[in-house]
Amino acid sequence: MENLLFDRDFLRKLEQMAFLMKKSMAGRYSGQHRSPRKGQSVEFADYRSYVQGDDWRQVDWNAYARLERLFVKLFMEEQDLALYLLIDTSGSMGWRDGAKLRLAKQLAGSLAYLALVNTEQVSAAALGPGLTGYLPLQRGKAAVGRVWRFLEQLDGAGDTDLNASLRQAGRIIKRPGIAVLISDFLSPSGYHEGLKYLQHLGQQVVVLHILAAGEREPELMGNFRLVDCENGEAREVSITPMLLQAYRDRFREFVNELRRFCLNREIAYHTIGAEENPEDIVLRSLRSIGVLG
Amino acid sequence: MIYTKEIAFGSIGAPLGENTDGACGGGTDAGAAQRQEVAWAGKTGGGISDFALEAHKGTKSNSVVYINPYKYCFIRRRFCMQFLASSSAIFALIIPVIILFYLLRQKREEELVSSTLLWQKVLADSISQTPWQKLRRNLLMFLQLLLAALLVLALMRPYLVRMQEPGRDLLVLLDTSASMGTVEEGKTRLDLAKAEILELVEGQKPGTRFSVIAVGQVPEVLVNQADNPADAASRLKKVEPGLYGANLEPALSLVTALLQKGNRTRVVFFSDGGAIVPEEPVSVPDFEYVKVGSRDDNLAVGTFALRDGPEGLLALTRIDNFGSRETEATVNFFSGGKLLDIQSAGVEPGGSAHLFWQVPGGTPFLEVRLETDDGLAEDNNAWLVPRQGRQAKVLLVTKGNIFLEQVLKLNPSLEVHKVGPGDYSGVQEEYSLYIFDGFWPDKTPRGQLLVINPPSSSGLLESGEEKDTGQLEAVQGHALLQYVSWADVHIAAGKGLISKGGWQPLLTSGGRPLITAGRVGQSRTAVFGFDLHNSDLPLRPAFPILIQNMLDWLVPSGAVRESQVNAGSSVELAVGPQTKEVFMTTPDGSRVQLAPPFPVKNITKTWDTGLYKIEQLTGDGKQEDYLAVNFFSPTESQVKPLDHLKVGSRDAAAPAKVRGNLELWPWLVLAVLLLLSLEWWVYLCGH
Repeated sequence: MENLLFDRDFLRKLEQMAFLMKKSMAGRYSGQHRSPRKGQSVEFADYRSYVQGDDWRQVDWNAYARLERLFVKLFMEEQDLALYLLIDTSGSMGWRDGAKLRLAKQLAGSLAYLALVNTEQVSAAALGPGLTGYLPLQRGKAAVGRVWRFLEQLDGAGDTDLNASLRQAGRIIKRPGIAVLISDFLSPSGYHEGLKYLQHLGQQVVVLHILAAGEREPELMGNFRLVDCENGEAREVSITPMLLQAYRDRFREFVNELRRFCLNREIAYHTIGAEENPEDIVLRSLRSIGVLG
Repeated sequence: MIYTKEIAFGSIGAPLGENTDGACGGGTDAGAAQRQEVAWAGKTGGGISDFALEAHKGTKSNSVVYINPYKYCFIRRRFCMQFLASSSAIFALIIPVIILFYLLRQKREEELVSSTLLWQKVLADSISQTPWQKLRRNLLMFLQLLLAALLVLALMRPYLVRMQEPGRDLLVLLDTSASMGTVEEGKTRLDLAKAEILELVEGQKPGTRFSVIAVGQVPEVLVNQADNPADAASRLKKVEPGLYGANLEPALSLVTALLQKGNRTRVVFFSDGGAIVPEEPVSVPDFEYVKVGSRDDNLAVGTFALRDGPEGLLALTRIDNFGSRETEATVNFFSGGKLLDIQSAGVEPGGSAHLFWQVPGGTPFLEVRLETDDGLAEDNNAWLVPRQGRQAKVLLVTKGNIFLEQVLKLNPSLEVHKVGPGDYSGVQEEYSLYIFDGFWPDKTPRGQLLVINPPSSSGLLESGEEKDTGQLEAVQGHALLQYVSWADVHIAAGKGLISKGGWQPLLTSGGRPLITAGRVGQSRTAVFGFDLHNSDLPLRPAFPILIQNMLDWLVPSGAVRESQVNAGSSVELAVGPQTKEVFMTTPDGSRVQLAPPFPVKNITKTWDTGLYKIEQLTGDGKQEDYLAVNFFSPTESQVKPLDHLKVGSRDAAAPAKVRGNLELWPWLVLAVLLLLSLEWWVYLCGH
């Protein structure tokens, strides 16, 4: 739990924030978010003609007085939100000092706290070659500890297959909600199908793309045998300035491709450096892209 | 045996016509159009050795390709590529080494990365963008192999030589003068010239006859009308540079005599230009001059001589700088083989430095040694033999001759004893020189003789009759008459001396010898056929000079008349009459016997510089004399090779154009530099 401990000031600021939904989603319990169902809230939604069996208490008698027709007043119903925290726990996330995975857990912990104190439901899942672990939907502020403990025990190891692991994660995503995927997206099999599947499950998807400095700007020059930390696959390469430049171009293209894909699919996307401060990311960056408000 | 292989060359082919010229005689005319023939002819093939690749591209015969693997010869359009340093081909071993390096796996540092996904894509991108990926992948290796091949080729120093026209004979003149001993990059110019000659000879078409003449003081035919290059190789191997100058004039006379009418002969002179050339037009039509060598730096000992100084004898050394840069000369001075002094002097280009050394008394010989690494080593040493102050005992037998007594006193090296003719029989002691004035003993003594106005009993007279003399006629150029002027000399009357039996007349009058020189037994003898009192000769300057010349000849201070001679000179030995054996020790330490038999012959070959020791062994003693042989030759010490050699009225020097050869290494080095840049660029591109 130590790694996920946030100072009180930060937690207090979190409590003042909320997830912004782009569209209303049906929840299970009353909450703070609009539901597509019409319910008991004070916010007027619409009129409709009275049909037999309607609750007489919902009839707008003022309208009847003016029009001599029976209309039923419909009100918005506010229900809770399901937040699914999908964390890439492959070997690449634990690369070197594990800064990427640590940041991913911190971000997930922050978002989980924010959701739980706002009476939302939170579920967390660990993604590797498949779904390697998950925490069912939790509700209430008391669940913060459980979520944090789950996040704490996550370890970066194994291959990455985002498509397969997201498809498996579909088994635990029972309700529409917000799915926050935190990953480096270094998945040999790609990620398109997985993200599409999340949207298919009615999730408002948020992608947090974590990248280490050593991936953005490798400090390598000369002859190397590059070994993949996930599968041990090796590539012998003579790194020259020209080749390094080609790598940088390819890396930029890789990031832009993901950003373009997310933009086209209306997925909130944000690139995060592994060395960045999680508080800044949550309080500023996620607000700036409209995930939090 | 001929192996024939047909190769399709697309549309190049054309009807085969005439055969090519003799150089590629191994080819065959048989064949159809639309093809080219490759003929590999064995070494036994008629007229052509080795193998030839012949490509007929039509009826023209100028498109000839000739490859000679044994002579490294590649001919196309009458040009032949040869190599100055074919032994550098050994460096081609670097090529398999390069390939081996590519075969060996490079040791690489292992680096753990988060994923090789992007690296794979980068490498895949660079490969997929180039359709010639396989070639480009090994481009570095190909470039390096090409680099190595070009470097090896440059080291072999290829050059193009225009092939000799058919039917022309070749006559090579090789300068063997001292300057050809100049060292150029470890080899003498003569060695370079010999290598070039061999390559030139080997590059000739089969059937070409060639001759080689060594050009020294006198020309020497080394190879005459040979057609086998091995003959030239074996003869040239023995040729060494001599300590003399080259004289082209007699060589060209010999060439003119050798040239056959109706046969065009190419005459090529390999030299550094330091030769005596004829000023008159020469009748050698195709004369070419090939410059050998390039360096011009040379210091030389120009003079090594003795001078009287305030504190005794001084040895003077003049150091000449023939180079184009000022040089610091360090000179070692040896006395009797031991180092005595070292002096240094800066010598300006074209200038001289004079060094003086105090000569210690009693030293047998002196030497100066120039410590330098200049072009020519032969002129860096010089030797000097100070005259020994030996006293010669002379017996003058005369009734009284004031002129003789006075003139003998002029020579401090003589110890003169005088007796009257009546007292001669009582003389017991032996003398080096006996001077008989109007007297002749019954028994000829053992010693040299100077006889003046001999009586008839001496046997030296043709007739005892004394006659008046007329016009005097002196023999021109005789050493005994050097500097003697007979213009105002008159002789009243004289007896005719004998001129047969080895007697050489020095002065005659009307055909009658009045002064002669010869031998009586083993004794050198000079005879005056007149009484000095009947002549005004003793009153003339000629008299002391003549007597001194005679004394030098009769009683030289040593066995050698001149103690310092130039290399190649003939040296006359003057051994004493008591000498039984004469030995000579040459500079290389070998000891040869010169006598008996007597009389001792002159030393005719002093081709090595250094100190020669002459030993005269008498019955009871030994006399040692030294002869210094030096090489003082400003023309040969001037080692800068001439670009142009003017023979007669013709400028015979345009070496590159005349030979038509072109060294290719600068172009190869340029290509190497360009390839190197390309390789670096390719490397930066990540391949």
